[in-house]
Amino acid sequence: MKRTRIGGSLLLAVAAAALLAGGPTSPGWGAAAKDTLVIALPIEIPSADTHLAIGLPAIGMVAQISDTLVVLDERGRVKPWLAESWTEEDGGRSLVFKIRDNVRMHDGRTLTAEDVAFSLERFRRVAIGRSALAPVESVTALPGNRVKVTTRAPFAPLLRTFTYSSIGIFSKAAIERAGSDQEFAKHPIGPGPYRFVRLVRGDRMELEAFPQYWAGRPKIRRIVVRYIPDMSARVAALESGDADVIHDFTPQDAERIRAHPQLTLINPPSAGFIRLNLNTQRPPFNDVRVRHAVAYAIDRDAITKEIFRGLAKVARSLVPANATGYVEIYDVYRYNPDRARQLLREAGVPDLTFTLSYGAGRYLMDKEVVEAVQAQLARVGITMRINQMEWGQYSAMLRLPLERNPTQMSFTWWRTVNGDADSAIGIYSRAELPPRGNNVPFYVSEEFERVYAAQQVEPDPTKRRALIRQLQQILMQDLPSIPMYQQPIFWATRTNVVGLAPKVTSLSTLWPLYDVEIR
Amino acid sequence: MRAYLTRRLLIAVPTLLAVTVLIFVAMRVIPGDPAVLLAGDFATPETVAALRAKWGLDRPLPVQYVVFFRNLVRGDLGASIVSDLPVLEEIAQRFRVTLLLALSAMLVALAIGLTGGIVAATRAYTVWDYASMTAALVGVSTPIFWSGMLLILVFAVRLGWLPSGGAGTWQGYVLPACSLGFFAAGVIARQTRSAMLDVLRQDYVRTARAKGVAEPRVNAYHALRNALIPVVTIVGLEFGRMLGGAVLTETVFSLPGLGSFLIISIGKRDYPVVQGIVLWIALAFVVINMLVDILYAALDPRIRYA
Repeated sequence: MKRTRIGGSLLLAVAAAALLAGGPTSPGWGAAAKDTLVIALPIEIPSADTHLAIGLPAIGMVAQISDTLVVLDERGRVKPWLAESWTEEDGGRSLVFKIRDNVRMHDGRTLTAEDVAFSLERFRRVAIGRSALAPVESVTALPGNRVKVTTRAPFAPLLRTFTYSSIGIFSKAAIERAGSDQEFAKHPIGPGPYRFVRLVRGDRMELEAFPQYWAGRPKIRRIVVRYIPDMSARVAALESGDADVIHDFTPQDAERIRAHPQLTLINPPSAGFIRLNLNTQRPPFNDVRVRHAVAYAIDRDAITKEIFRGLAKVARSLVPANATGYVEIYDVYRYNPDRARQLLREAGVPDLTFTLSYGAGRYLMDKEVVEAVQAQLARVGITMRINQMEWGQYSAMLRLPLERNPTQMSFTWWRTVNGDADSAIGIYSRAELPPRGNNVPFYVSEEFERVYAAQQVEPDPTKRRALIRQLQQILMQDLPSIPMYQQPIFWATRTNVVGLAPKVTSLSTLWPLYDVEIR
Repeated sequence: MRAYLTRRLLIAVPTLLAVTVLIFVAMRVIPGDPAVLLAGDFATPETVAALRAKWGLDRPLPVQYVVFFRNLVRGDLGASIVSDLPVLEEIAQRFRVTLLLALSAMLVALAIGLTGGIVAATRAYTVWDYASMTAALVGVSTPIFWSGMLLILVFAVRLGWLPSGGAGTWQGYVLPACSLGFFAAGVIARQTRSAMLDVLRQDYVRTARAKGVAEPRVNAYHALRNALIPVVTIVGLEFGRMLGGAVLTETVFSLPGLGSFLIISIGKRDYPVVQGIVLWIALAFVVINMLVDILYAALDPRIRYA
C-alpha cells in the first residue's frame, strides 16, 4: 500500500486557483462510454494470475478472472461459491468440497474437481501459497465433482483460508497448455465473471464480461483497472470522470468527496490495523510496566479524531475489529498521562528515551501519526526519537534476528487475511520470530503458545472463540504491541456506479464486480 | 566526421562499463532484500532463500557481476525480479511512453521558448522583453507537480476537455507535454535571448542591415542561426533529462514511463531493471551528445570534426 503524495498539501491552493476557471465541474473526458467501469488503484497490477499477484487491491481485481471456492458475505460469514457445499472428515483433518456443476470457464470447458485440485496444488507451490496453505498435507480430486483437502493436524481456520482471493481457481488444461507460469499469466483462463483482455504493465489491465458466468451475466461490459500512483491525481481522475472508482486517499480528500454531490465515499470496516511494536527482549521495553506506560501516554482518540477526521476507529485489541473471535478489551489503556508517569517512576525510568523506526510514506498519514505520538509522549516526559527509513531498508531491518536487530519500537500494519483471528495473532507465536516471520516485538510466552496451539485444533466454534478471547487478553496484558487504530480503507465512486458499496469486503478487495452497474 | 563519431562511440564504451559497475555495486550496497520485499508478509526463510537462489542472489558479488556482464554482451539484460519479464521488453514498453512525452514536451518547449527568446531579444528592454522573461522565470520556477495539478484541475476536472492522464490516447499526452514543456521553455527562452543579443551586436549583422536586408530576414538568417549553437546544447541537455524519465510528470499524469518505473524498481530492489534503465539512460545521453555535435556542424560550417 505504498503511496506518493506529490503536491497533496498544495492541492488546496491549486484548487482555489482552478476555481478561477469558473463554471461547474464538467461531466468529464471519459463520460461518454458508460459500459466501461474504470477503477484507479495506487498499486500496479504485477500479474494477471492471482497465484502470482501481490498487493490486496490488485489481487481483488485479478480475482475477477479466477473466482474462489468460498467467499465471505457482508457480515464476514463463509458462503458457498464455486464450492456449493462442504463437509468435515477425518476428525476435522479433512474438508471435502462439492464443486458446483455446470460452471463454464473462459475457454468453454466445464469446471471439474480436477481443475480445482490442480489449482490448489499449483497455489501451494508459489511463495504466498507455501505459507498460506502450510498446514495442508494433500489435495485430491474425488469422484462426484468433489475435492478433498487434508491437513497434517486439525486446523480450524482452514475453511476461511479458501476465501482468500489469491487462492483462485483456473483451468488445468490452459495452465498445462501455456507451459510456464509466465506464459499462463499472459492469458489466464478461469471461471470468473470477467475474462482477461490485456495487461499493459505500469498502466492498466483490461477485462471483459464473461456472458456464461455461472452466477449470471455481468452487468458491465468492460473493466479497466488503471494504475495512478499519485493520490491527488487519483482524486482528480474521479472528479473529472476519467475514473469511476478509486481507492486510497487522504482523510481530507475523503471529507471533500463525502461533500461532493457527484461522488460517493465508501469507508467499509477494516480488517487491518496499525500497531506500535515494542522489542520485549531488550531494555527499556523488556519491562512490561514501561510498555503499559507508553500505551497510557498515547491519546488514540485524539489521533483518529484529528488526523483521520473521525474516519478511523481506535483499535481495541490485537485482532481487527470484525474478525471472528474479536473482543473489545482495550479500554484498560484509555489515555491516562498520570498513570503513565506513575508506571515510569515505578519502573525506574522517569526520563524514558527510545527510538521509533518506520517506513515513511507506506501507510496512510503515517508521518502525521508518528509525530503526534512523539508530542503526546513528550507530555509525560518520554523522549521519542524518530528514525524515518525507506521501506526496503526498514522491512529488512525488522526481519533481522534479535542479536543484530536494533529496533526498539516499530510502526507496522497487520491484518487478518481470511476474517479469522488466527491469521492476525499468529505472528506472536515463537515460530514467527525473525528472521523466520513477523514477530517483530520478539514476544515469547509459554501461555500464549499453549492457548494458540489449542485454538488451532479446537473443532467447537464456541470453545474456539473462548480460546481466542483468552489469547487477546494475554496479549493485551503482556502488550508486545500497542494497537493504534483500524486502518481506514477509502474507496470512492461516482454516484452513477451502483451496487459496489456492500461488495467491498474487509480485505480491501473488490469482490465480486459482476452485479455492479453504471446508470 | 565518420572517424570522429567512431572515436566518440569507442570512448563511450568505458563510460558505459563504469556505469554498469557503479550501479551494480550501488544497488547491492543499499540495505533491503528483493526476496523479502517480494515474498511479502507470509514469507518464511525457506521461501526467501528459494527466491534468492532463483535470482542468483546467493552467489558471491563478483560472480553475479560476471553473469550480468556476460548476458549484457549477448544483449540480454536479464528478467525483472518483480514481473519475471525480460528487462529489455519492460524498458522498451516504457521507453515508448517516455519518448512520446519527451518529443511532445520538447515541441511545446521549442515553440514557446524560441518564440519568447527571439521576441525578447529583438525587442530588448521593452515591455515585450520584460513580459517574455517574466514568463520564462515563472516557467523555470514553477514546480512540475504544481503546474501539472493545476492543468489537471482546470482542463480535466473543470472544463473536461482533456483526460487527467494515462497513456491510452494521444490526448492523454497534451497536459503532461505542456507541464513538462513549460519548464524547458523557460530555460530555452532565456538562453535564446542571451545568445541572440550577443549575435545582434556583431559586425556582420550591422553590415547586413546596412546593405538593406529586411529586419525579419536579418533576425532569422543572420542572427538566429548563429545564436542557435548554445541553444542546441541546452535543448540537448533538456531532452536527455526528459528521456531519463520525467518522474514528476509521469507520476502526476499516471504515465507508465521510464522515470516512474525506475523509482518503483529501486523501491522494490528490482536489480536487473534498475541496472537496465540506468544503462539505457547513460546510452541515451551518449547518443544525444553525439547528435548535438552533429547539429553544431550543420549549423556552423566552420565546425569540422576530424
